[in-house]
Amino acid sequence: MDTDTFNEIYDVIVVGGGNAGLNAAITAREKGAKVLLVESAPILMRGGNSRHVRNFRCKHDEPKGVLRGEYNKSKYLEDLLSVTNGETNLDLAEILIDQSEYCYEWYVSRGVRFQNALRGTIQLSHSNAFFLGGGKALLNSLYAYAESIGIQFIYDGKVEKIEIEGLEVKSVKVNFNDVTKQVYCQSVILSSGGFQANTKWLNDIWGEASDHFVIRGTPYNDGVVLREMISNGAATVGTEKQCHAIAVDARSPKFDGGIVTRIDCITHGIVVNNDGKRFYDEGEDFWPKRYAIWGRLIAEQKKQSAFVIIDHKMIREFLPTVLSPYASKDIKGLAQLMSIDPDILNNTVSLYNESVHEGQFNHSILDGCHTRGLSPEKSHWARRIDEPPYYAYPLRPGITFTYLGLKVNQEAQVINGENEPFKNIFAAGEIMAGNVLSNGYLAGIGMTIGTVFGQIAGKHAYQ
Amino acid sequence: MPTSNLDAEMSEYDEARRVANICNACRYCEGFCDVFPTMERLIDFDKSEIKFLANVCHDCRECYHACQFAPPHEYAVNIPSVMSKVRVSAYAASDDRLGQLIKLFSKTIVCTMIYPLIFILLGYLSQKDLFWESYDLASGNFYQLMPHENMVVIFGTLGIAVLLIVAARTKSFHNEINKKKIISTSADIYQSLKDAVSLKNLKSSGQGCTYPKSKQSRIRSNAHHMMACGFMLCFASTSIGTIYHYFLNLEAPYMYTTLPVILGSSGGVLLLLGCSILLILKLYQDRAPTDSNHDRSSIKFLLLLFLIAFTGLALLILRETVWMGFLLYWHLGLVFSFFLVIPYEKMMHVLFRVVALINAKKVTNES
Repeated sequence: MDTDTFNEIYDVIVVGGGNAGLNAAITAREKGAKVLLVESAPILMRGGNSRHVRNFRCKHDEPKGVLRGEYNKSKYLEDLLSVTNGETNLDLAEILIDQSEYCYEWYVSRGVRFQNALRGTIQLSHSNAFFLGGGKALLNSLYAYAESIGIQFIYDGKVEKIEIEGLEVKSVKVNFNDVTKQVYCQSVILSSGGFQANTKWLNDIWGEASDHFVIRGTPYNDGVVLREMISNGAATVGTEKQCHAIAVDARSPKFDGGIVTRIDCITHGIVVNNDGKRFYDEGEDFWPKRYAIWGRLIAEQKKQSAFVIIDHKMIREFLPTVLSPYASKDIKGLAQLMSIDPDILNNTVSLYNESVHEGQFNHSILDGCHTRGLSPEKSHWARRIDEPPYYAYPLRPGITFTYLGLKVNQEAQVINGENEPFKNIFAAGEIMAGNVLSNGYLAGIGMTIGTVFGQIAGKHAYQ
Repeated sequence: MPTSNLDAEMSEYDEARRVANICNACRYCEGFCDVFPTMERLIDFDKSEIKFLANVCHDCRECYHACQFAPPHEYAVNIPSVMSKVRVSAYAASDDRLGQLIKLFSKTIVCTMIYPLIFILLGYLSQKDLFWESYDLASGNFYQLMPHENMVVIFGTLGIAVLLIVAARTKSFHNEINKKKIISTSADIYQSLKDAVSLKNLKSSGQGCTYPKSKQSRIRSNAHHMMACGFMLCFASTSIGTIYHYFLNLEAPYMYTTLPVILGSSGGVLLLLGCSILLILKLYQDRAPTDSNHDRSSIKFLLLLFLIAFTGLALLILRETVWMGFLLYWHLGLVFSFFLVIPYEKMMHVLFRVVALINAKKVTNES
């Protein structure tokens, strides 16, 4: 960064250097704009939650590159409507799906590399293109390309204020090295993500419970820009309380544990809370369809804590975990490791075992293994927990992202409460994903939203 | 064996195990090389499995730059560094007494300076009158300075000893990592050899590896190919020279247009170039994914090859001058050093890697 960086006037300032911000910055720059990208993280941690992604979902009518088969518009839309229960801005959803078709080539021609669907994710090979090496490798390629075409960057720069007159932005205030500077621009693209890493904000909504939340992504998504725009009168989508949360290992780092902290054996065992009691049907449906409800379920338990218990025959049946589970030769010993009353836990497990009607266990179908007469039941994959050693993983809610976002129109312009667009303020990525993805989640769609609306924002921000 | 060594060794295997558990839960790097698909099929990450994986790793460093858990993340995942650390300790085999003894007598400074000096000194003392003579090729007095029999006795014995140690070590490495005692198919072996020779694992998606910096580049694999070809050409030159001597009764020195000289000199030039580039890249490389012990071993190896090529070429050019004696003994002293470092250092990577790649094929084909 030159010393003059702050003194120049930019055509476009992009706030947030994740996938959406880079797509926006590159698109605007390729049209000839003078672009400044302000990233709040230091260079080694740049890229927001895009660091943790592995693929994006794209429409394709025939196989191309690493994408198998076809994934057409109606299937894509059907999948989106099914996870969101039909609640989506249909116009934006159609734009998203139509444009997603061109993203693959867009990436490839800018140096991004892809790989075949990872082992164990074959079900995604028809709909999702996997980045070679994952999201950080994607970011490295995009940053290298962005630098080569002359985009300017500020790392460690915190945007504190978006200065608005009427419906127009004139400048932004950036805190850099503890000094706040005013930078002037023709337009601004906001791609600074959600607010899930803002522990104070979470505390305001959830109270003390939020102390026990694990934030799976970057610690830099503090939602300051989102809140600033809301106070500037921007209309929002989603509620503050909505977040995508899954079950993660309770021993995970508070931030940034990413994909490796998730615990994928809930369907293989039983889940108990701190009182040693079960509280939800672990075998309700296939894991990919149910993993995203467990964050909320655990958040509703005392101390936002739970444990999944499996026995020896299940330990190799799911994706390996970073940390070893608690292990004991009997359930009472396991209970002690979990700091749960041994008699209660023993009772819970015995009751469960007695209710199991074991059929042919098959994790790839909704099999016939289930309980009878238990509350709650376990509908599938129920097998007795009777083969020592017994194992338990401690669980916490792990927040992936928050849904609260800025309302946008088809040109990715931010809308105010009177449904008028801010003339030169655009939004892309997680900060506006709620327009399309009102709730639920579809693997890789967050990245597609960032890519497509990043490019739309970049295109309209410089005319 | 000192306990501190044992501790240090335990810790790099422990660190590799810790990191492998994170990688195995993530799997984003699956497409870069053979390490990760192999790792996913392993479970315990005991010492032999770690040693196996470390020798599949070619240190391309793509995974380091792509890793969201790399430092400064608290998981501090750094596969290239820990795998290098394990590799160099696998070459050194701290539980091998002979290896420890050789290590004691093969420090870099000793190998590159002291042994050559001793050779020069002994050469001078044994042939004071001839040492600074200039030589006339036609008169055939080449071997007066270093009688051929002496050379055969010293380097023949040493060579056979080294060969036996290397063969035994390769076999025991193979037994150690092939725990399930699976027999390799010829297709596996062919494919693995092809991957080894083409440095497939050093090229990721064809654009080369992230070395010396974070940008993909083929300079390292190209320089390595230069060096390896140079080495093979020199080896071929020596072998043909031996055939000339024993079977065709053609004695050294050979004319510029003969096969041994053509092969040896082109090999020498390639070695000089390849080693120089690889050494210079080391000055510019990112330090973070580098293990300093492994680097020292590589530098010693490259320096020796460079100096052997340099003195060999100098000998060829100046063999009819008074420098012939000096250069000959300098060259032979370096070759002696090189023989010494073969069985417990970087040179072992050639065999360990091929064995590891063949085993990786077996493991990944199995499931």
